[in-house]
Amino acid sequence: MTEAKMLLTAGFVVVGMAGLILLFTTARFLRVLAFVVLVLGTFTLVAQGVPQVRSLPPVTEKFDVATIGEKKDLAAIGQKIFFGKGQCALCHTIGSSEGRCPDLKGVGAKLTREFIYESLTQPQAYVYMDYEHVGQAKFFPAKMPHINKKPIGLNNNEILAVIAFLQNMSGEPVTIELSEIEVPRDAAGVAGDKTAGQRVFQSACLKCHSIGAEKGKADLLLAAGKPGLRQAILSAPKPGNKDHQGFDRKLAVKDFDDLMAYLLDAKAVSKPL
Amino acid sequence: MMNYLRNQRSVYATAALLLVLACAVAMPLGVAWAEDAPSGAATEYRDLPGGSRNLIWIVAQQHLLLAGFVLGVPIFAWVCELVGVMGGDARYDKLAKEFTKLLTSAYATTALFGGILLFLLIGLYPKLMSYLTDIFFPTFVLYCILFLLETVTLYLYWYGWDAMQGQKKTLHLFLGFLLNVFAFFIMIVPNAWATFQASPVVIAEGTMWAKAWAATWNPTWWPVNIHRLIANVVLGGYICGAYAGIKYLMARNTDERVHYDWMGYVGNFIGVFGLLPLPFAGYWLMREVYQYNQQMGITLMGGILSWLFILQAMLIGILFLGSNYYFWLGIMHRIPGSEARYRRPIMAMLIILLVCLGIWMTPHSLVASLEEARKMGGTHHPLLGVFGVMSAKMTVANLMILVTFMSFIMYWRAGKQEVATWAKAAKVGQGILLGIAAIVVVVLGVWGYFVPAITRINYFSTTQVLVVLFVLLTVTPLTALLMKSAKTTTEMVWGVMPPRAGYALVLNALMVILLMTLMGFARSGSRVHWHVYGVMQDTSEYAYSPTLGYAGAFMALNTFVFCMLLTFIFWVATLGEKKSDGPEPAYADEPSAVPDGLSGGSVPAARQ
Repeated sequence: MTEAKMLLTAGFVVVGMAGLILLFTTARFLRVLAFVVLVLGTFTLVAQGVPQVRSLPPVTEKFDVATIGEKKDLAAIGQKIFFGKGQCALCHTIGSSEGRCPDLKGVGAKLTREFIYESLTQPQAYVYMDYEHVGQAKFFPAKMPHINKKPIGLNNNEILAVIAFLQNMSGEPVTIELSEIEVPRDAAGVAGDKTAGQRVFQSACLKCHSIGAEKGKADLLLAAGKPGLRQAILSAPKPGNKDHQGFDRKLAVKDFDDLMAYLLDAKAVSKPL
Repeated sequence: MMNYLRNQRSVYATAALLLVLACAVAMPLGVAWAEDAPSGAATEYRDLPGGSRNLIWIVAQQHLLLAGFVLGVPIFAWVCELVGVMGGDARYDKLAKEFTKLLTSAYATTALFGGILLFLLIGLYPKLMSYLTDIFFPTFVLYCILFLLETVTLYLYWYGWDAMQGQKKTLHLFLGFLLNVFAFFIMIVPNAWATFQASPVVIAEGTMWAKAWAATWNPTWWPVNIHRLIANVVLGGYICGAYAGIKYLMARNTDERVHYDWMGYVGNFIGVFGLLPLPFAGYWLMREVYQYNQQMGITLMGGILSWLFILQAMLIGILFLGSNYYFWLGIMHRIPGSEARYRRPIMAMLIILLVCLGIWMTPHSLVASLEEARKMGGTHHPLLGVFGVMSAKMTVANLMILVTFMSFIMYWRAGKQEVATWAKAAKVGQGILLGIAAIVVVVLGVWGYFVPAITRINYFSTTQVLVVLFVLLTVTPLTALLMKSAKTTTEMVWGVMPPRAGYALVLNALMVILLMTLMGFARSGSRVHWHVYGVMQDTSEYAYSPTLGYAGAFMALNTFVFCMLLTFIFWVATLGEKKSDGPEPAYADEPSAVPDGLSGGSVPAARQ
């Protein structure tokens, strides 16, 4: 028996029993109790009548570069991201007027890849003048979220794939070159868990370093991926600075690998076109 | 002495029961710890048979509902006490005392569930709790201090009730005020933790207090604070009403019927008083959610949770209908001879409410088969689809508030005749004001279809809200002034309501509790697979949002458990009472005039 059927059956049983008590009992408190159960049982049944959707966490589209033989493969991955992790279809439609935000039919032909990239990563940079305004355009906050930041957080490869999809479905040649797709860090020989690396960063580095420019802190993104970073961490950056002392004892090899994975991932997400 | 012993026995029995409950919850947790003992690596999650999330869901919901009750009741009690002092009516003081008596046992039960929730969260979600503790630790300290202050004030307020009568009544009122001030802060501190999870902000560098403050001052903190404050008043009022309704149904003599009929009226009055501005607070909260994160707003109103708001419309609609129905029953039964006079307006208001409810419940897109969708030309019904949008829903919500307000005014004025020289002009003015407000709400609602969404949200919807608020804030004091000098033409008779009035009160309370569980799920579900939205992802096996059917069953279960807990609290609080006690035999010593605004004259049925 499925979960829905079980709940439906339980609802009917509860409502039926409560109804019987109300019909045949005169004990006042019991009648009130049956009334309460009847109302709650009815609510449960009504709740079974609306569309039942279980919202699962978005599936991360794996970028297996080896499987991308031609540009249409990249566009196919972009299509999955468009309707999946990217959550673009939550607001945008393709060929329908029922969406909350602009219909994207033919957008790949109308706009350049640079403009689309900017719209995705800096939605406020340029607001299309004709959108929702008649007459002189006014400034208003863009509704579009920063697609390269959390909670959606598409990385550079994923954004390029979405652009490829938009161009492909508009009947335009895809201008994203396969050479622009970065080889994932695992394939480049970097082992480590970026989530664990984030914890390492927060516990060991956050006091003095930041991810991205931040006042009074050294940006670790600038160092991410550079050779010798591990050695730099193990030695004090400035004479007399004791902040890094004992890091070789505090952090295990795995912690360093995790931290590297985290930094490279953060760099990939923030990289401009 | 016997009473004392009985009280003591009830306290021990309560303590033993609570201990058994705590052990029952703690035992499986112990098993889980034994099973999942960390082996070097930090544990992110632990699980329990039946699912850790389900257990947290039940315990957290019970704690929140109980907290709403123990924060709402002091407001309710204090307002009743104040009305009693201002109007010189001893019934209000007795009512306030009767409900304050519940606080001691309810407070302990709330704290118990809070403790269980804390232990479960630390045990089952250590990673999240560690993260939140790092940010919010100073507020934990503050929370403890507030609890101490609240406890001391509550003891003084309750145990000092009889000692602080007469000249010391002002001091007692001040204690009640203080109790509510501490209760308010006790509410807003944990609100900061919960709202931070939904709308986190960048944490500023600085002292631990600076960090905690930065996290606390997040975009949805104040909207939730105000919304919960009003909702607690509503909960307190309607639970008082339900208690009175049940007692009324079980009353054994006329005196009891008179007392509990009156108590039900006061409970419903305060519930409606809070209910009218509540949608405005909800609207403000949703606006802030949209401004904070458009995607979260869409998830709520247009995405996976959109059908939840159809259920919400149904519950609110029934609550409005139930509250109005109780008012109408009051007019028909408590005021002899009024049936013929008010039948038509009541019928008109009922029709308006039903039409509004129908529109509010119309979904934006229908559940249709492919064949049905083809015939309709999409998932939007060509005719009904027009009502599924926010412009229509905002309009009918405002109209329902206006109608309920009219019911309330009608009840207030029933059986009285205004004698002020300016009464006629005032009544015409009120009528014009209500009429214009209704027209403005409808015109803006229709106009809203033809303007960009941003214009509708920023200007039209806001204007609708302000117009209705203006009516509420001008007509209420004007009516109060009129009633002050009004002559009672028909005495109100208490204790003659039909049994369905008692059931209506119980239904209203159920709707409020269900709404709280529903909107709790909505707020939690809006974070989707994030513990802290966009910052800390839920990587447990329970990162998904369940179906509305599953959630609905849980809401019903939680509501039932809460009702049972309340029954237990009410039962425990009245254990020490003598069987022959109960309300005073008659209101012989009470003044004949009841304070303006709360009743239209009173004559117990027993004295007829």
